[in-house]
Amino acid sequence: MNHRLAIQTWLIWGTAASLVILAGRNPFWQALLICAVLMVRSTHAAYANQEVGWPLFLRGVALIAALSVIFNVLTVRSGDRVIVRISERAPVIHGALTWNAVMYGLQSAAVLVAIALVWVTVGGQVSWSEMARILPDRLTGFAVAGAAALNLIPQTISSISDIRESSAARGMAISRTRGWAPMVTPIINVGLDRSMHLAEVLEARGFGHRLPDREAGKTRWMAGWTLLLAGAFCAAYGVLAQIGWLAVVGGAALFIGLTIMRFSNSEPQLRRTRYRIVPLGTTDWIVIAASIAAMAATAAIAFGRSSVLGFEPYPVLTWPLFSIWLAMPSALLAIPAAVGSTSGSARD
Amino acid sequence: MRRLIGRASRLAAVLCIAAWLLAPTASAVAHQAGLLVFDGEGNVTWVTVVFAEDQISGDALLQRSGLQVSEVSFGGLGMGVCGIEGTGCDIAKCRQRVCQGPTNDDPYWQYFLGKSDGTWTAAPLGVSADKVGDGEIRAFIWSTHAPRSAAPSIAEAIDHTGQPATEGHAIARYNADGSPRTISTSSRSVPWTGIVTAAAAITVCCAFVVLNLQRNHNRQ
Repeated sequence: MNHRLAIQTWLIWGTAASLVILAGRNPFWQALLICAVLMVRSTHAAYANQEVGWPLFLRGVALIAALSVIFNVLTVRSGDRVIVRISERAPVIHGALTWNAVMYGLQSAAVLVAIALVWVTVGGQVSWSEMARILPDRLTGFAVAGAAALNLIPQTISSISDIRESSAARGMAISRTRGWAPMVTPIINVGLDRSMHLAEVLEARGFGHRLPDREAGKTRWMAGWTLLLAGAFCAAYGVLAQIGWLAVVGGAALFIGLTIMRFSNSEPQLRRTRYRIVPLGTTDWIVIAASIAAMAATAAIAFGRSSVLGFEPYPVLTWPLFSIWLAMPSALLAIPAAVGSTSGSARD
Repeated sequence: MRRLIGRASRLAAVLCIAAWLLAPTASAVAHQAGLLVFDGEGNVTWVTVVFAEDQISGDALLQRSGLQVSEVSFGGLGMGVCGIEGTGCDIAKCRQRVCQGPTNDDPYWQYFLGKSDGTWTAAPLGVSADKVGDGEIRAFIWSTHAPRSAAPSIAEAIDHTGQPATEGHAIARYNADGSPRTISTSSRSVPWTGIVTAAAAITVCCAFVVLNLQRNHNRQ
């Protein structure tokens, strides 16, 4: 099949993949999920201006892994596999540096890399104009801010090569790390300038401007919104702090807030016209169903055999557990690689 | 030549610092300190540690005790104890709030200083700031309250554990009923199914990625 997946499908897939990755720290689980996401990424060509190349991505992976391992090895004093023991004369870092800590650092790096990989893949498939189009009118301001913020890193990266080339043309070839120091300010400046330019363009086209609300339902809408936010905060705190009554009261406030907002009738007087509505095709529904099934399978494993998902290399480094069920969410998340291929050339 | 000398001198400086950091401290007269670990279920572990320095930190006492310990560094604040002999919390939870749960009754590793009159005093500054001298007793308890038994003397600790070797440690573990306790060390078997599945998945993934990249390259 040769079908381009809709933006909603990518967002659901990205959310499902992120939740599944965060559910466990078993190295087998992480390896299988990273494989699944890599297969999806290699199948779907990104928009030309949003492509993050493999060399850059691999450098990022190496940096994340190195930082994670170094931080963990220097801060955790635990484990049966000692690499070296630093004398107590050294402040803060004294004690045993262990392979257990290296393993834990690699696990943390795998989570970060997998999440980054998922959203680099999704980011390559999402056109910000499409994103602004599918959002409700009230959220277009967020879309403009998000587009400007998310555009900053790709634009800064592309400005690196532009500035390096222009410097080389003027006879300032950068050969050593120290040579980059004078380039930092112009690189950041150009990246910021391009993002600001995008924000101004979107604003000029009316995306940043909020349409006027109906006066009649405005108060009720605001009350509902306040209740929803307060309820969400109380419910989250109640769940995290295991205070049952607070979680219940917060949940009730959240529900009441949602109900008030639903019936407040404060829709804007004017609506933006959408000329192009992208329908979801069969492949979109297949990917959405697979993403939901992956989350359900993860929840089933978490409740049924939670010991398989977890892996703690402290205080004794042992082999992680394996169950064939660990492969199921990865297989489901790899379905976009099978059903929708846009390989060929980077889209523009 | 000047660059070579500069590099050599930098390398020599790094090697000197590394040797200083890794070299063990010189030994002198042997001192002894006792450590009691209460796991919250009534089991008690007695440890006697012999050390050469006049004083060592509470953290060093724990590290030299030979017990399985998990600790996380909080920089200048010192080390936080996460787990001792399998009791405690995992590293992620320990980094967040040093194992303390949300309610008042949730246990965490408390550190106590034993007094000569048999009472316990909670350590005000934690394991890294505490200094343990010859004949002193320290205790860790996985609970919200102080140890119920009286603080022993170093002689009582040695009675329980036996005399440790020079710069070593001696451990004695007891159940709640006072009978000796043994720790089972079970090793997990190699998960060949998992290794083969992961290897197969990685191979398929690599082949898939390479084929796709090649196909894209050919089309361009």
